Amino acid sequence: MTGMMPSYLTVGGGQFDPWSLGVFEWNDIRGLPPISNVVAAPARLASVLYSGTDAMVPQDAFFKVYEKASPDPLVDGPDICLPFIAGEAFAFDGRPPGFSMREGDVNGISDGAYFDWISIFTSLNPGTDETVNPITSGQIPAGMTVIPVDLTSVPL
Amino acid sequence: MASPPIISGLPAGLSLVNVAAPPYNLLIEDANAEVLRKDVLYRPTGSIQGTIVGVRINNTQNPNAKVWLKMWDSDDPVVGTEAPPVILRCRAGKITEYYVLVPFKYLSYQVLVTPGTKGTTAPTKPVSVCLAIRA
Repeated sequence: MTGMMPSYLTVGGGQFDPWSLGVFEWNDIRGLPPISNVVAAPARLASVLYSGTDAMVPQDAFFKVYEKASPDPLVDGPDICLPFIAGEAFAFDGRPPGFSMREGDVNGISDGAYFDWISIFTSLNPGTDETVNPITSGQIPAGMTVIPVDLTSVPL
Repeated sequence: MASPPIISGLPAGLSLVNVAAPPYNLLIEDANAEVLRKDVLYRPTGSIQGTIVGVRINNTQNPNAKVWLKMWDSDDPVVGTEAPPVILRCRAGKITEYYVLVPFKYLSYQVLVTPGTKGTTAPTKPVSVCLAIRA
């Protein structure tokens, strides 16, 4: 299971061009192990979209994000867990399942939320998947957008 | 002082349209979401299920504690044992906003200091949460 990544993004400790958005795309995000170290360097996770049809995802399932380099779904609790419904390629309002996030403080909020690492996993169980129940049938294409943490660190 | 009118008139060429299906029509503002809130809303099954479309977590009063908002589609969840279908992180001292699409029948939630299923410890200082819901 390998994401189709721009050249400046690599799985497992790579660097990305701090001037650019990072966009990851996968044809299928099901199965074990979790997709670890999608982003190894700190980055701001901005959005994730995923999809599935009746034939692809016959059961309700859960998309999870871990702020860990190599999460173990048996024991690690996900930092983000969101459900998606069986057959919902375009759930509610025609929008695909997924989420976007923003983060800040009392001085203002900007796109994306800071993560030291980003790893992802989809499963049939919510929360901490203590029986590790991966999705074994169908297909779930997905995409993720991350933003560099600190543009000011780039020398001019 | 009298309140100003909401719409006092539109410039020529502009029109005002009522939105028939707004993204949300309910806002829940909770200044103490570190307290377990059970059976906040109940929507019968069928086409009028509720949908959470936006979440704002304000954790600025806990500068040293990362928190997680956990939600259950249950009227009486067992916190620490019952796996929450929705978990949303907010870093220490931060505000985090999520744009999501989460249908529910029941809605219960609590902000806690551990991710995943386990853990029953709430943060020491209040965490406020705002939920935008279409129901």
